[in-house]
Amino acid sequence: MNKVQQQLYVTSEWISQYAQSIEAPLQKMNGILIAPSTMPIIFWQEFDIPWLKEVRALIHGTQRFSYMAPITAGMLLDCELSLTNVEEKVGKQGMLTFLTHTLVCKCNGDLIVTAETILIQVGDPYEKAYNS
Amino acid sequence: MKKHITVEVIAQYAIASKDTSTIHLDVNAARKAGFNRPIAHGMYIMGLAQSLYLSEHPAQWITAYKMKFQKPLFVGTEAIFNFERVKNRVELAVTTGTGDKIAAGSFLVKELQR
Repeated sequence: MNKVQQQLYVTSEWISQYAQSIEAPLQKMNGILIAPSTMPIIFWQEFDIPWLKEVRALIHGTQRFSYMAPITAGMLLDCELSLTNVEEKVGKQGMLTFLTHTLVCKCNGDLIVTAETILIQVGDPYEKAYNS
Repeated sequence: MKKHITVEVIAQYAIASKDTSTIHLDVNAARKAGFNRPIAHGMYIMGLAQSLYLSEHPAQWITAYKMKFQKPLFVGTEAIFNFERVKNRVELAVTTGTGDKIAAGSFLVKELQR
C-alpha cells in the first residue's frame, strides 16, 4: 500500500528551529506562532516510507503547498503521505521516473495543508518498491 | 536579492530538516554523483526564498506556493532571488550569479490577522 499516516504535534520549538534554518522571520497569528509555508516538507522525515527505501538518486522536480489555514504551534496534525502517480519518461539522462506524492494534513478533521511533491528518479526504476 | 549559500547554512538546514544526504554535505559524495561540489537542498532554496520575501513583508502570510527546480545550486556560490508582485501573486525566479536558472515559482499572499 503506497500510503502512510502519522500524527504530528507541532511545537513552537520545532517551528522556531525550522524557521531559523531557512532564515524565516517568526510570524504570529492572534499571538500564536505560525509555521513557514514550506515546513511540511520536513514532516516527511517523520514517516517510514516503504516505497522509497530501495530507491536511489532522487531529484526534487517540483513542489507545491496549498493552505486552508496556517499551521500554528500546538496543533496536533493527522497527516497522510501517499504516492499518487508514477510516470516514466525518456530524457537526456535516460529513463526518468516521476513519483508524485501528496501529503495531506488535517487538524481535528479540518484540512490545513495539501502538499504535492514530485521526485524524479534517474535510471531504471525499482518497480517492486512502488508496487509493494 | 543576493545570498551566498555557505557550507554552514546548508549544514544547519540538514540538521533541522533531518535531510543529511551526503550529496549536500560531502565533496566526495557530490563528485560521485557527478557534481564538482555539494549542492544545496532544493527545499532550502524554496524556504529561503519565502523568508527573504517575508522579511520585507512581515504582515503577509503565504497561502499557496509552488516551485520547479531547474538546476542544482552549488554550495559556496551565490544565488539571486527576484520577486515580482502582481496583486496577491508573487512570481519568483532564482538564478546563479552568472544568470543560470536554478528554480522558478510563485506564491499567493494574504494579510496576516495579528
